[in-house]
Amino acid sequence: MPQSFEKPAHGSGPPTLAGAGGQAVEPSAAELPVARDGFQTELTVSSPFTEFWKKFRKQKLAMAAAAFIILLLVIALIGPSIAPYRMDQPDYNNMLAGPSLQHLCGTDEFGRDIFSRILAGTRISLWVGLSSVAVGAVIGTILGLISGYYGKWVDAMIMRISDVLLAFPGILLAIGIIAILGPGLNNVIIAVAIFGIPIFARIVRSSTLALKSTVYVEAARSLGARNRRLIWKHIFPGTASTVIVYFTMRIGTAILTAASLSFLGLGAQPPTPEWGAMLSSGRDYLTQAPHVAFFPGMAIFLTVLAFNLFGDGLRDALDPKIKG
Amino acid sequence: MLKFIVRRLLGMIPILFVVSVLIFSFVRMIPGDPARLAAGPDASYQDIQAVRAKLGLDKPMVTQYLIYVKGLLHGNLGTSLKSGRPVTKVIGSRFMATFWLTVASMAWAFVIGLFIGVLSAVKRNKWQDYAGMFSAVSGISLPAFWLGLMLIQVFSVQLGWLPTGGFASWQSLILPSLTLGSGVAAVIARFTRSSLMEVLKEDYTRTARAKGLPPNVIVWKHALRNALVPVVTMTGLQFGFLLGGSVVVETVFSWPGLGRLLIDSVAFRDYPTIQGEMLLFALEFILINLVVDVLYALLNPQIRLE
Amino acid sequence: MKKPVLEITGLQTHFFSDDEVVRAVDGVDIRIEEGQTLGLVGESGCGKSVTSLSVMGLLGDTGGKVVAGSVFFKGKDLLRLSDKEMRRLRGHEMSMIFQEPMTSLNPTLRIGEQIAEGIRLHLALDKKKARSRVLETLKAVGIPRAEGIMREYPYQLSGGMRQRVMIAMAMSCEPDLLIADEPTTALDVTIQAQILDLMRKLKEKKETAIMFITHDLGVVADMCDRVVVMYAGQVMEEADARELFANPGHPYTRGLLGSLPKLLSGQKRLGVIPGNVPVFKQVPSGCRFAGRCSYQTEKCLREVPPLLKAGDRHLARCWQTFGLAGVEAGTADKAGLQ
Repeated sequence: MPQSFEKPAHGSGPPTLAGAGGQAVEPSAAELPVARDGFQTELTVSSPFTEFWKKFRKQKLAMAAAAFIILLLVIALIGPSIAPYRMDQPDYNNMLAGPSLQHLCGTDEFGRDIFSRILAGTRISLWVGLSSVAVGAVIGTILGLISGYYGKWVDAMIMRISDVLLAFPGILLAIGIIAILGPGLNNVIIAVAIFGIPIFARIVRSSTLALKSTVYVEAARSLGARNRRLIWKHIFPGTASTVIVYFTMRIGTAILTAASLSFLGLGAQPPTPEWGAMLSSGRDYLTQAPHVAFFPGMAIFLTVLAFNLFGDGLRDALDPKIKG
Repeated sequence: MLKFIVRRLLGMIPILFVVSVLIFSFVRMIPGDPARLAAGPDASYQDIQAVRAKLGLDKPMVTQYLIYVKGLLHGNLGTSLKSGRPVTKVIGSRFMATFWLTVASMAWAFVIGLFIGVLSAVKRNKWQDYAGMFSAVSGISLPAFWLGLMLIQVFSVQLGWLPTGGFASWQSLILPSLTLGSGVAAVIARFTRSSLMEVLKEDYTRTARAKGLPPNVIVWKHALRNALVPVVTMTGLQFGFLLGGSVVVETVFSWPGLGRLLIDSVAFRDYPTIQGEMLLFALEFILINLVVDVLYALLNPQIRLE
Repeated sequence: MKKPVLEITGLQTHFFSDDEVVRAVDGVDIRIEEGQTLGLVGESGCGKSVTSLSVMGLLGDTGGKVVAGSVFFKGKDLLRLSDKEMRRLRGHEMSMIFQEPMTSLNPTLRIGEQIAEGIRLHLALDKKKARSRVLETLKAVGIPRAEGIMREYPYQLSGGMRQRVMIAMAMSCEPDLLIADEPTTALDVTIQAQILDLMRKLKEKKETAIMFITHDLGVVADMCDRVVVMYAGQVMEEADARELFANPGHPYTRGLLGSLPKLLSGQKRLGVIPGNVPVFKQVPSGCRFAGRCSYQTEKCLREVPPLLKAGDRHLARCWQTFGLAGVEAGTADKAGLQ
């Protein structure tokens, strides 16, 4: 990239070569040939978002996943009203019927339309996934910022507690918490959220540590910025892209964990059309009617897959340093 | 090396302390009177007092904790409320089933994951890479309970090749370990790929190529050895995932292991057993971390020799 | 004229990324004779390393591709060889030393094994014979207690020792051509001198042809018989080392010489060439150096100068070559290139 170089002092003068010197010392002439020679002269200044969008758009799988997630969100909002049947409408003449044109995914042990129940369950799964990760991310991010910024004993304490929480495999911690709080969907959200806290605390802490020593934070500090302002105005935005990437990548796991807990009978209880719970009751009819378990499981799989692909795409576009 | 292990073991003490406090307070965190809960809804006042005394809940907190730790050091985890047997016995009888399930799952997951990861890294941006990475992200997204049920439906119900559940022979190990390992295989595949791709960019890989070594020697001898260092670390951490996953998979396959015991205990509110299991899981996880650190050192000569 | 070991003609190596092509090497001719040491000089980004990687067939995953030209090595066009045939030459008849001794050795393999594997592969020696050969080469590059070093890992060695190991590795199969890509840049000055000294000795003993890539003209004066100056993917000037230093034919070479510190010359400030090496996305219409050149004319912007004769065995890609020769080097430096 050609840079504006210092204009030579006039006294030194151009070399005494025929036709060579004169123009070269004039900046305008020095820039002119540059453009004509095909150097890349334009610095394409683009906002971070355009830059991100340019990279993200290229990832076709992630784009498809994003489209699928939007579809899921729409279903979550208006699902029950577009469902062909009411989710709790039994049909005792039509129990455990296989997939057909009337019942796209067949019916369950009470003759309820599985497709309609899956549509109704979308709201639950998305709500559980988003809310639990959001709670974990907010608390974890705050703790991580505090831990990384203030250091010393605060940091030591927060990190030791994180270590202990992380010493339990995720779902076991959740089961332990549910053993205390009792089964139920809200307790599942709390349990999954608690597991997310140390994860976010750790990653935000490490970015905070890195950012704390950067020139711009040092500069802001030397100008007398207060701690709180430094954290929110200067450090937090720097950690944001990592938090966003982890946030997306955790949603899939959260939905999966919540569905597993419901499957184990610790989360949503029948007749709630939660996918894991539906699968759990379908399990008893596996030999006669495998579709009862198949379709809710497929719904979980596709939803989690979409979030994971979307998260991978975000990661590659926003922050390629994070590893899967 | 020995010094290193000792230092690591000493480093575990504070974590163990906090874990024990956490698990100790576990029963005390249950809303309401744990003794009443443990005794069941129909219990009389005497029954509740008896349970209270049995759980030692009538003494001051610190005393309770010391008694608890003393019991731990003597290998006493209390008595199961459900069966009335010592928790150590209950857990002990279930341990091996989970152990074999975990080992079998990890074994195949590591081999397959590594293979897919290496293949994807070497055939970067070719169809093998895309296929490998798509199956990996699918493996991570698959609900284990669903995969397990579908495997049972196909291989046990329809084809009749393998048992639907229980732990009777090595055949009964196949479907559960396949189910449990799929997620871990996927994680290992993804991690191996990214790690190996990093290493293939390193200067010493270029040196190996400058020597005229054939590609497979470069990948398997020069690059993989270095790429494995983080992979092994990460694989060790996946044991925790397996412990967690075993809860679900054991329920699906009626596997007589610790995971199903935990769910049964939660359903029965058998707190001493839950406590004991939680402690065991935490301990296992911490120990695995230690083993991982040691392995890491073994793979990395710089740490090994210092 | 001696027989050429390496003859590069019209080499073009381009880098392809998403939507652009970077012409890193754009029509380079280089000839190295038996036993000759050729210095390939230029700033970073001028294409000198890419040229060497193209010769070795080590472009690999860098995204670079040789799109035109030929590279004859001992009568064979390397660009037409299969991967397998190239592997047989690499590390055997031609080998390479890299800039970064700290990262160029595999951290998880013992030194002995890293040298021995090439010997076993190319010379088909058994383990025992390969071992004694390793020992021999380690001693030849001046490594004390070679026996012990063989069992050590790279991290146990200093940068200078690692570079000696790299040289031992490169020389272990007695190649006809050694490419050294800035082998001393990453080292301390005293170690640099030792390594250069070692290379000079080895070259005299084994009569290996060397392509010595560097940005350091001092090293060139010290080591090389002939010099090729590259700029923005092209050869700007080529001459015997003495001739080049005495009589630089290209403003760019003058600039490089002007930026060398000279003892006893009373010089107060080092010369600086303004700007950076440009990166080309399209074929530029005129001389590539014109943007930074103070001798530039209309013609320079319009027409690409060919390599013109500037003296005995001396070529320069400049329309002003003869005009330049008339200017005394010292004043030209001060006047033209601030």
